[in-house]
Amino acid sequence: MFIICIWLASEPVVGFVDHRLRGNKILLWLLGRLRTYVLAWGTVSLWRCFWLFWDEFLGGSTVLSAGLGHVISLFLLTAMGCASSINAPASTLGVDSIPHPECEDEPLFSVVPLPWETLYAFGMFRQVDKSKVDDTKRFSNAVRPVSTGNIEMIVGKDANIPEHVDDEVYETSHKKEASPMSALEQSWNPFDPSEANGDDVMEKEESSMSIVQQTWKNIRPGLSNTSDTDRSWRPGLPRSDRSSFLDIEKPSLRRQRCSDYAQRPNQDNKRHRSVFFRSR
Amino acid sequence: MFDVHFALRDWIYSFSIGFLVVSYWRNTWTMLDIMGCHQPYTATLANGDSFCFAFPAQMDPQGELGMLRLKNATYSYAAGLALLSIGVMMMCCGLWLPDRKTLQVSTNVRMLRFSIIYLLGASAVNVWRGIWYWADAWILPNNPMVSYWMTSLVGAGAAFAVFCGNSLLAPPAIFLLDGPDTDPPPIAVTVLASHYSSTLPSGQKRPQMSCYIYLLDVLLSFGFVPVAVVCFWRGKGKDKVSLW
Repeated sequence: MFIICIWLASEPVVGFVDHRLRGNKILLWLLGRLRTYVLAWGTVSLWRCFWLFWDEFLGGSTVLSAGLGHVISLFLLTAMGCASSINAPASTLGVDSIPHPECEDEPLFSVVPLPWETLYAFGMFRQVDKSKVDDTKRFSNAVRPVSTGNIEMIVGKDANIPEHVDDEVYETSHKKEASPMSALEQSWNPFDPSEANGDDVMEKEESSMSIVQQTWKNIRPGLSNTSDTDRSWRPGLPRSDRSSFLDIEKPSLRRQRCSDYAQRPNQDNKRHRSVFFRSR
Repeated sequence: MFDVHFALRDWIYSFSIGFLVVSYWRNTWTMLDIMGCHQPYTATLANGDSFCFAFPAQMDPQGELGMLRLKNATYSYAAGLALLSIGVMMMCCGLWLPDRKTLQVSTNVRMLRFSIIYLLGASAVNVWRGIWYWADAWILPNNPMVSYWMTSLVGAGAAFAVFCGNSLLAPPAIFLLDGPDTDPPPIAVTVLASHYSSTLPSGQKRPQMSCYIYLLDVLLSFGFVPVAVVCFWRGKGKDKVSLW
C-alpha cells in the first residue's frame, strides 16, 4: 500500500500531472491535498509494517530491545543528519504555504524520495554552510593578520581562516567540516573545485579574487576560501537539470528557483501574497 | 536518461530514515508503556495487548486497565507539554543558532542542538501517547470501528482546514534535515511563523498582529493540530479492530 501511495505521490508522477494542469489553480490545489492524503495513508501503513516488524522479530516489548532500539536509531539518524525527523506535531508543523506566487503551480513538496546528496553526516554538529550566506556578508573591509607557517599574510576577516594555521590540522579539520554523505562515495575529489564546478566557474572566481586571496589559493590549492569548498557540496550538482523521463524541468529545481527567488530582498517593496497556503 | 543509480540511492536512504524514525518512536513508546503500564514483554501490536493493553482496555473502558490507560494518558500528555515548553523556550532563545559574527558552531551549541532535538522528540511521543489513549477512552469507546473512521476523517479534515495538511505526514514521506545552515530546521514553530517564514522574502519582517492572534496561533499549533493529526493516525493505524 505504501509503495502504491508513494508512487502515486512521487515527484515524476505529480510533476507530470502538474505540467498538464498548469493554469488550473483549483484543480492543482485539490490535487495537492489529495496527494498529501494519499501519502499520509501510505505512511501510516508503512509505520504499522515497521512497528509489527519490531514486535515480531526484534525483541518484542522487552526493555533491552526498546532501549537499544531507541539509542541506536537516534544515533544513526544523527549520523545521517536528519535527527530532526523524529519530531511530529506539536514539536513541528507542516504548513501548506506557497513560497512565491510564481510557484503556485508547484507540487506541494518533492521530498519523496529524499535526494541523498542533501544529507550531511552529523549535520547538526557541523559548521555553517557558508555558501548559503549572503555573498555581501562574506567579505568585509576589515582585515586581520594570519600566520601560516612561515608565511604571514593579510586576508579578509570573514574568510573563516583560523588565527594560527597548522597545516595538517587545518586540512584535516576542513575536510571533516565539508564531508556530506556523498563524500563517502569518493566519486570525485571534493577539494578540486574545477572538477566539481567546471572550469568556467573557477575562471570567474579567480578574476574576482584579490591578490591576497589568489596567493592564499596558490598556497593551498582547492582550499583558497570556504566558498569554493562549500559550493562543491551544494546539493544537486551531479544531477542533470532535467528529468528526461518526462522531458520537463524537475519540480525540485523549479522549487529551488522559486525558493531562491523568495529569499532575495524584496525589490519592489511589495509583500508576496499567497492565494493558497502551501508547504515549505 | 533517467538515472536509476541516483533514484535507487534516494529510495534506499528514504526508507532507511523512515525505518529509523519508526524505530525511535516505537521503542520510546514501548518504554513508556513498560514503565507506565507494566506491559508484558510478550505484548505485540498483532495481539492487541501492546499500546498499554489497548484491546483489553477497550473491552472494559471503566475497568482497571481502562483507568490505568487513562491515568497514563494524562501523565504522558502533561510530560509532553512540559518538554515541549522547554524545547520551545530553548529555540526562542536562539540556542540553536551559531555565533552571530563568526558563524561558528561551538561545542556547547552542538550539545544544545542535540538536547533540543531529543527533548522535542520525546515531547512529541508523549503528547501523541496522551492524545491517543484519551481518544480511545472518550471517543465512542463502545463502537471502535465508527470511532476510528470518524477520527480519521475528522482529523484529516481539521488539519487541512487550518492549512496544516502536511502535518499528517511522517518519514519517509517528509523529512526534516539538521543542517548545516544558518537557520535551524522547522521545529518548535507555529502555523503563522511557518507560513511567514516561507512566504516572506528574506529580511522582510512579519506584520505585527494582535496578541490574541498570537495566542490563537499558539493554541492552534500546539493544541489543535496535534489532536487532529493523532486522531487521523489513530483511525488509520489501529490493529485488531482496524480499518484494514
